Amino acid sequence: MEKTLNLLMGRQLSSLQLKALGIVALDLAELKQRPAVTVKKGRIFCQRCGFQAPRANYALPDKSYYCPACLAWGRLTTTMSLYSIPEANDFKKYSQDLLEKKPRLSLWQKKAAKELLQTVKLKQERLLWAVTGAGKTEMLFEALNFALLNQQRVCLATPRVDVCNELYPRLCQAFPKVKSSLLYQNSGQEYDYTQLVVCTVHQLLRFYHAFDLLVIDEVDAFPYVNDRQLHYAVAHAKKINSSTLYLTATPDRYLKQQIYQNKLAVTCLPLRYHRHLLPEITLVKLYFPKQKIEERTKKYLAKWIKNKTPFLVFVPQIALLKPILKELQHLWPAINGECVSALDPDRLQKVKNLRAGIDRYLVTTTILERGITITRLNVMVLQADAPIFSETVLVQIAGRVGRDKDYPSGDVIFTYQEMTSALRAAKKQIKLLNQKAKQLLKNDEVSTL
Amino acid sequence: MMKCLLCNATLAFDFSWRWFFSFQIFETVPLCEKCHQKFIAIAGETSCPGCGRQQKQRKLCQDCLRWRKLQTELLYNKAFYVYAEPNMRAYFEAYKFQGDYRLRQIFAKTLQDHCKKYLRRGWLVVVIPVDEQTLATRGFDQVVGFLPDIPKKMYLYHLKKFDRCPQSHKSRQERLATPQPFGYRGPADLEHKNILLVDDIYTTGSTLYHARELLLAHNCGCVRSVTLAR
Repeated sequence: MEKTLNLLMGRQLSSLQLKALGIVALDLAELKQRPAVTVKKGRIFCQRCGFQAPRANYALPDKSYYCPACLAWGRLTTTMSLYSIPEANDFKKYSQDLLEKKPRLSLWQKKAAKELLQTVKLKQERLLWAVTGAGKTEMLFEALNFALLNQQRVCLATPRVDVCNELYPRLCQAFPKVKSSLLYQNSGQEYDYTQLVVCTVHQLLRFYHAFDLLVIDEVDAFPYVNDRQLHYAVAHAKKINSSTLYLTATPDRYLKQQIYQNKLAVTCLPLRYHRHLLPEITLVKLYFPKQKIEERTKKYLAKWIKNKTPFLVFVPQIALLKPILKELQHLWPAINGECVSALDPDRLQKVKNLRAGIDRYLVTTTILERGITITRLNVMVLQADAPIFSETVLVQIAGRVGRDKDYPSGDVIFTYQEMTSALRAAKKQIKLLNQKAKQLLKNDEVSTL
Repeated sequence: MMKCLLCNATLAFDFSWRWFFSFQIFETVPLCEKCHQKFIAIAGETSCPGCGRQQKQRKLCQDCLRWRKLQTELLYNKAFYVYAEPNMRAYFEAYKFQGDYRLRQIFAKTLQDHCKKYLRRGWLVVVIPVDEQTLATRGFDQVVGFLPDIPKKMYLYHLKKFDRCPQSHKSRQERLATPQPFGYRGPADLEHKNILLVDDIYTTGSTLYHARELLLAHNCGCVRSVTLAR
């Protein structure tokens, strides 16, 4: 009884999944049941993941139909039901502030945090557009504190597992009294009913009208962006009357459009916490496509090697990693370097080596585009006109540079042969943010005078 | 527009004049060339003649030598792909255990073409069944799914007497020691008809040998088998 409540509060599971968990009695008064897959005008519509298509392709021999899009979560068919218990917010009531230590915020950060808090109070939606390295998580704490104090159920979801793993300990540290859980595929943790949930966006498919506050970090990251299924999951995991916060450093075209159409409220923070501007992108046009590393790019590499600063070289394909690494080693045989891709099991170790100075450079795919902070870093993107380097990816890559307070500048070199709209847009976005930041700084000086 | 069922890549239609004048339906397998090459096809010339296992030389493998001591005649199984390999395992995981029924189309043609050869010679095609409990949860029989256009005989069924744990959860020794899992519900006398048994995976061969034992008891002729993977 207790277990059923725990497992199903704000969640949706099929009868097969319940049976696997050892729950057979399905006669609770609170239990809500709805069909898992519906058929309308010859099209199937999956209630869990929102997939819809003509039904003919997805028929089973017993004339039922199944959803092919969310098979990994257990197959749903037209004969099955989804069971859930409406979220009752059965949490401990706290009398005093939950934040152990208030983070020290700058003036603008405080202002942004206040706006976020207001959004949560009014149960609205808001996008926090803060440049890379602005301290987004810290700005959230105030709003999270308010929601948790008011017995709201809170979820922080992000498309990337790495980001989850990084966020969870920070939140545990900030809110030690609140029961929290970390969910992702193959995490090894069993599900437990907690007030605070940190999970990957995919896990939201298991929730149904559960959260009063849903925060989505890195909204522009793969695979959330352009994925209908995940957008559906997000829309259904939160309560009908709830607040949503989107966090990003690099809003994509869709988000920007929503901002300009005034459909989405936005808080923009163009300045990093150390009050220095974002490093500008230097574009280098190459004329000889066959030569892998040209004189004009070699110049920069030589400079970085001379200054003994670490650097990242981004390439568009995994296949290019080895040849580029070979060439770099041929050019500077005395200096250590490695290559990293998503297929690499010890990529964390390699990044550590770079940080420690054992390796001086890494040749990498876009896997290292976010979540990496290394002091005095420089970056180079080879073939930045390749389609994989979209605007957001390019801005994120540029955002790796100058994150340290003591070394706020660095080089960002993009080499290309043909100008692409992504390159142009990335350059424009950084320029725009810096312009806004300059204005902020100017106003600030006036106000302090 | 057709898409590869495994990687979702768009497939190019390969219309040819030969197809045009053949006056046949346009048949394609919804699988791209790249994904197809990931599966390891077993070369018939060098495989084990007893079970169809992939080998370097054509000779009986260790398993079949053991079977030869126990049985009067071997099954001479034909297998198309190697099972002990991540891509094939992933395929069966998605098809059988996750229950993506569409995936049957990928290998339906391969198995059906083979069965048709035997049907022309007057053989009967008998399918190894899945037990009722699995059928209820899975919603389909994976072998029947492979053979939509073949007149199949469901002569065999699973005995329900003892609570059977699925073959895939057993160790090799346990499988070899299992008693007869099937019952027979075909005609009492098979009149020396030849029979082709069809299954999805050949692992130890015990399932197929058990099935043959039953069929032989009902006076059938020669029994051969075909499986998708070995």
